[in-house]
Amino acid sequence: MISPERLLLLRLRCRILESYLEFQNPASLKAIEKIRSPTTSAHNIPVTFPESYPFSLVSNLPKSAPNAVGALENKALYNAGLGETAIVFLTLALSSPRKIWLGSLENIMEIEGPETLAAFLIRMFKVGISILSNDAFPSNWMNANILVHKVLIKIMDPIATILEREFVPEEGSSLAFDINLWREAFHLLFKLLSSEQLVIEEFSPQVYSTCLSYLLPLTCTLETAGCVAPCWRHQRGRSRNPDTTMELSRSTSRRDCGGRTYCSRCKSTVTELL
Amino acid sequence: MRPVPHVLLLIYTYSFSSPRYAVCSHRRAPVTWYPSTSSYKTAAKVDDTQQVFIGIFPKSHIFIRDESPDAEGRLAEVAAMINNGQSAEVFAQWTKDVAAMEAMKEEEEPFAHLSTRKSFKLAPPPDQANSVRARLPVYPASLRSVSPTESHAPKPLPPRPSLKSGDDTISGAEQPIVDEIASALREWHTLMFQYLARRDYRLFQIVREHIEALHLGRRQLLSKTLSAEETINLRRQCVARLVNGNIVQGLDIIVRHPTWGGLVTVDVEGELDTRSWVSAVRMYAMQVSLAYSEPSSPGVWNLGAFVENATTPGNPAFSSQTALQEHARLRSNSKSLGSLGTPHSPHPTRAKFYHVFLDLRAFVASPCAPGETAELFFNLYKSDGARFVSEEFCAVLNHQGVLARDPTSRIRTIFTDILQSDAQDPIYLVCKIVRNGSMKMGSTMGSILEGGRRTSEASFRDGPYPVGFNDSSTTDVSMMSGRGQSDLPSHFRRPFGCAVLELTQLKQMATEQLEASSTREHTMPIFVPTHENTFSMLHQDILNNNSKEFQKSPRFVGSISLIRPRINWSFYFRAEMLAVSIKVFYGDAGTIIRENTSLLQDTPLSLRLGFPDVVFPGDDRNELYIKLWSGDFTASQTSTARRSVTNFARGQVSTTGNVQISIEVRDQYGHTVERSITQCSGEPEMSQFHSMVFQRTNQPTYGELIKVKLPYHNAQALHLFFTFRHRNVRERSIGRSADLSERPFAFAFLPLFPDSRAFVEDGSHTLALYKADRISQISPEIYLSAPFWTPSSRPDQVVIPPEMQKYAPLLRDTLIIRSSLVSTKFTQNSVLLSLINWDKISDREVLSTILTMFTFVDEKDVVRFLQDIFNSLFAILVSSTNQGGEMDHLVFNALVTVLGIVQDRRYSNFQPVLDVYIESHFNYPTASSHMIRSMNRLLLDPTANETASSLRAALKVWYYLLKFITRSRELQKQEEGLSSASSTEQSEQAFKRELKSHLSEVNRMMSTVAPASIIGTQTIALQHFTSILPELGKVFPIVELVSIATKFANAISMVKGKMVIWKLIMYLQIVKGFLFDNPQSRTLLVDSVVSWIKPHFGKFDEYMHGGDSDAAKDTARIAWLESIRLSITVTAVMLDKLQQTLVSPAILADKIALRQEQYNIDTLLSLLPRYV
Repeated sequence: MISPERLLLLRLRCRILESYLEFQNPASLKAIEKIRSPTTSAHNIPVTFPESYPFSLVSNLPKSAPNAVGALENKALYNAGLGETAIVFLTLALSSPRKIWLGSLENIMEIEGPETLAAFLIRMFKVGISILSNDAFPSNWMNANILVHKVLIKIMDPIATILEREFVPEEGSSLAFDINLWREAFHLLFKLLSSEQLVIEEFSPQVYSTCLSYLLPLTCTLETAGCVAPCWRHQRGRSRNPDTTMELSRSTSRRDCGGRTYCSRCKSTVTELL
Repeated sequence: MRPVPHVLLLIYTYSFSSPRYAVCSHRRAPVTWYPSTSSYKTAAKVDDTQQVFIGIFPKSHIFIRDESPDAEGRLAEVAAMINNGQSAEVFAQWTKDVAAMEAMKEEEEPFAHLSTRKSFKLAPPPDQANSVRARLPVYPASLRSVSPTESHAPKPLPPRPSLKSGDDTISGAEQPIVDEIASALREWHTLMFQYLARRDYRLFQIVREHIEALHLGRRQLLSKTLSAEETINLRRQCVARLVNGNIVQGLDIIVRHPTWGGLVTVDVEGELDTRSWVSAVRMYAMQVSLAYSEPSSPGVWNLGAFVENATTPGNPAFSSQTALQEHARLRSNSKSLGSLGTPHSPHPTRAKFYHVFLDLRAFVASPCAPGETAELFFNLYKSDGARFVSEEFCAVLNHQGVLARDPTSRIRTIFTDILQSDAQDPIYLVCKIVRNGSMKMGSTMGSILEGGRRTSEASFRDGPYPVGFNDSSTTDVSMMSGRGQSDLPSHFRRPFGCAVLELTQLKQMATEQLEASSTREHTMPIFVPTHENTFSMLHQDILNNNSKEFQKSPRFVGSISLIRPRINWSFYFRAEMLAVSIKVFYGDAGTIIRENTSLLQDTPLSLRLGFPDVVFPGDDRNELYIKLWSGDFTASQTSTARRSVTNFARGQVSTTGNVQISIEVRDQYGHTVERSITQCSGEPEMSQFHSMVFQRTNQPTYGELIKVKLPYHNAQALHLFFTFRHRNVRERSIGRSADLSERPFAFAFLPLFPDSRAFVEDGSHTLALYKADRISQISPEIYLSAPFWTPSSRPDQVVIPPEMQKYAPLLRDTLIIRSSLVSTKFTQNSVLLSLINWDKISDREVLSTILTMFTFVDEKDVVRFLQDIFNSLFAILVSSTNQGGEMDHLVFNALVTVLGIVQDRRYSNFQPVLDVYIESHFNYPTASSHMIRSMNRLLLDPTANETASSLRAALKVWYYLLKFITRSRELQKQEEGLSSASSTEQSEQAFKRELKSHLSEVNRMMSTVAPASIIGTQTIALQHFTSILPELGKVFPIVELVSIATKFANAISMVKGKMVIWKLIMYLQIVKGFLFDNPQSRTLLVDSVVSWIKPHFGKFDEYMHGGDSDAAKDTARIAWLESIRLSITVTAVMLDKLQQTLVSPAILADKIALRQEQYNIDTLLSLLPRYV
């Protein structure tokens, strides 16, 4: 039995995702550009998690950043709000065990129905993809990026479970197959698998030695890949999304190179999917 | 493959840190160039003689075989095992295999890509290959030291992928930073070649320095000889260097624990290493601030600083590297960490200032003949505002350039208490040189005869120590005056020269916020004025480069200078330069002197001119600075000159000018107060000060500073007494008996307390000069009744008592002095005086007037007498005069005014003083209800004209008001502790009721919507509400505090514009505060906070927030983004704190608590998604 209060609070989590998307919203960016005030002018050094007013919403990217942050790429600005919101979301996800995640997803399903859940999931996939594309912070912020991969790998597992259970209509069922949802799910998954941050063999010694601890969770990824395999089969016959196909082929091609032992299973499952 | 016919050239490259081998082969000539281990010996003996690495071998000794990369067919097997998920075991097993067959490692390297090529073995022919060990690995010459036994030790693992990093060491398991450094160095090392190839030498040098410093640091860490604190400092520096090294090279930004050194972990599940754990949001904040840290310029990095810091205990970790500041800021509550920074330490701390240590190393000048002395006056000068910051440090040197009074001692001082604001502007060290000797300098006297005579006379008179300080106890004259020699008629204090040095060190330190600079040597060229009259402004002329006004001091050397133009310059100049070394400290002077005893013990302190910001209770200074500025003796000169001419008819020297002023401190009976004048620091006290003598001018500008030590009692009776004499260079040759010039021609005086209540005001005073011919006939009583100053405009209107007029008529001459009082004892403000002595005022009206006037007293005066003022104010509050509370609001306003100074940045050190006072000096147990009542009175009518501004001012210092209130309640409790429990309980209840009524008044004010002007007051209340919570916590249980906070938050009805921001910031302060640290209140708060922030983030609702125009919509959008960010921050702070409780070491250590806490974690985590 879910209390109405809890439901309310679940919505708050959506607010974090919405906030992230709001920071990315072109209208917001345009407003920042248009309005001249202390908060909209770019500072050289951002204040992370500001506690006094005024603070600046955007700042120039650090000189050390290798790539411009996505949404504001032409001006090479760092949108501090994006990064902060992303981290809060990731931290929340990190702190909740799989059981809780699954439970909360089931709650949404039970109380608000599949449409709300699908909307929530799509929002989450979008945010995940955006973070993976380094919209929130540059790719050389190592610790933050490790966290991203760790958390996404972690949450994809319960999500795969719920996707498989709730969003694969039975043969002959009246329920339509939610193509969009599955497309985003695979987009995120393949983006994750093909992430450059996971190409261990290209790591520098420093990063390599520090990343050892997170090699192991990669096995989770493989499990996840196994989980989604049947779903992929479902989708195969219906639509081919150029995005996902591209990510998938990138992912597999990368896994192919050099006979890397650690991803051989992944390779097998993914090729099997295709 | 066809056997190689003739010759092989084998090139083996061996990378030491990662075992990769590259093997190349070439065919050239019929000889085998054979990098091997023995010189022309058979390969069978190779094991025994490995010391020689290069040799030539007959072809018959080379066995060549074709091989594929996987000659032994094991690769597939290994791969299969790894595929089966047994990678760890496989690698372990594999390691053993490799160790056993280390000689063959190259071939078995599954991932070294070069191994796919054909490689050649150093091996005996098959018939001799009885042992695998015969096939030795080939090392470059740099590995000569490798002994045969070591070569059999297990080699590092092959390259990645593996589950162990190649840099793992046992020490690394203890201190991860050791391995972190190793892997970073390995990576940088490989990149160095690229930088060289790109000819980026600058980067190359920077990285090289980083590598050297880190390597050294790693060795120091490994040696484990450092103390715990030093180790932490060293680790911190290494971490900072690792980050900076990566940043300059554009590599990944890696957050390592600032003091532990390991990569930070953010996991909250599983096995945690609490030493390197930080919460994920904190990690992110660190990540951002590291990414934005500036890689420092190559010049700043130096190995020296690194070593020095690592080995000097107590030295701050962040001495000379800007980049380390980033971590410094991480450690101390930093702005870049935003809301995750720790709150201010509640303990009162001493204020910190800059202190400049000066050591005079050499005085390359000879302005004085034997028997004469040179007086060096050092002080700090600020060009902005053209003022001296510190008092003068005086050193009297003899003709050999050493301290006259003690030739063996060092000439050192420390200029104390330089403010941050001073240090940011250019500050100069100014040294003025005064020559104490004959009226004219030797060079102009020129002749051998005269010079010789003078020398012999001087040495005859003074013995080995030319200046008579050492025997000051033996003669009355020198006891009277520290400057014994100037009493000798032939010796005058004469202007000589000046040297200036900009203290860039100080400015650099101020910008980099370091704790101590390194000692640096500087030279200061000495210049002399073109005209001696401009001597007092010489430093400004030098700074402004008015080259007409000064020059290098020439020395008369005759024709020699023409013949040998390349001779050492110092020979030509009478005064070449000074050499000084400077070190700057930051902190509290007492602590710094304690910590640097060897350097600073017995070093005279040259104090700041005036108080820094505030005066701490217990600080003690009581002195008056007098700057002898200028005189105008034109009026009396005419007559004196005439007389001189008649008396000394030689007529060749005019005696006009040459006025010497003597100053002494006298009491009301005319007795001189002995040893009360100093030339500031360095030299001993004197009883009479003699000024410089300027030749041939009737309007000399002296610019000399003296310090008068004030006694704590009877200072009211003292006055300064000035006498004026003409000093003539020719007098002595006529004979001292005449001694006419020894008689003063005029005198002046300055009473310290002109109206015998308040001290003489700071600033410029034009003193009246009286004729001194019959001075012996005037008693001090008579002249003290005459005016001591003349109004510059109408000197005629001065009223002189008749007796004075008779014996000592007023002269038209004047003397301008400047006075400056630095005292914790005396004040110049009469209102302040009245307030402090309020108990002598019986009239309530007068007291009210004084309290009203008090609010206009200058802040600088207020901060000096803080303790006395508070004591007086509270004494009035609880006095019998105020039984009916009539004075409440006046006292309250005065109190708020004083506390309001805390808002002023100029008095940034005010806060600790106040804390010290409240903690240990405040003692008025009944003051609390008076204060609460006054506050509530203001809240009753928050918008009325007369109360609105008072209320705002009071809300700004709400925290301190509450602090006084709770402290007085504490004192009350201590008193009540003696009486019965029931009465204590009663008064406690009464007190709580009073406080609650105050809070509900506040809430009522917060809920007001009209008029619009209330918003300002509400905003101030919002901004300061959280500051009072800790104080309320002393009275109410913590659960009740939550409801107080909730009531306040919910009372705010108007949520428009910036109010949203202030409201969110208040929530942020609440979750940052102690309420969220307490498990009881946290549970209650989480729900409230979530419901508070919920409406302020998420999707932007254009219809709800937007205006009609595009601009209004954009503004609304920006406001929305701001509130999102603050809401996210509130969430982040909550997450940070919740995560911290999950990994607290105390809980992890206790098994029962751990189980309990794990249960809690489950509950908490099940709640966590709910929360947000």
